[in-house]
Amino acid sequence: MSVKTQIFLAKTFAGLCWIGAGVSGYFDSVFTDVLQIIFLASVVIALIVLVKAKREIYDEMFLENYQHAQAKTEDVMHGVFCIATVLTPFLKLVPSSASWDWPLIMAWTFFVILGIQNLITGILFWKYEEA
Amino acid sequence: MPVLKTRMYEFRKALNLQQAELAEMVGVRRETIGKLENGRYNPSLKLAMDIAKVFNKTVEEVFTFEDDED
Repeated sequence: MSVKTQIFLAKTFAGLCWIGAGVSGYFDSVFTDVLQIIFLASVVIALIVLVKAKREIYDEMFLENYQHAQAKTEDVMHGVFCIATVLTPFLKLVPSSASWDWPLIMAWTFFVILGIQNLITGILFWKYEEA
Repeated sequence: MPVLKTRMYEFRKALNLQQAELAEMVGVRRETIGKLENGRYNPSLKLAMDIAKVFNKTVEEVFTFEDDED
């Protein structure tokens, strides 16, 4: 498998697993707890593949495309955070919002954000490699 | 806008080298050599010099910038 494919699969798979772990954290059941452990274990596997693939090669085009993808992702995430900051006060308008466990919600949302970040980086990296 | 033109393919064929062999000699991936030959990637000065050295040519003989007709 080429380094391009390894990085793309590792990043997108890790992204999906982070999102899965975050989303399953919103639910309180044994099933979702088990699911979350599986997702997090999968993230570790994806990260090992990622580190191994990066060690295998030092290639300037790869580095350029990877850094380009990370920089673009940072811009996208910046935009997402700005929108979230604007929208968050409106959540207080929801009648049951006072009873929500905000620290817990934010903890799992952090997992989802990590997932989106990994997913976007993987997709953009593939796009730049294909260009 | 100037476009990168290269004679890499011609020089590589003259030496009877595969893309993968040249890639290994200059320490990059085969895909990078492919994109360089198609003019879809601008190499760093170091890579350009390493490639020119393999061909025993100057960087200017291997890579040139030409004005795009469009």
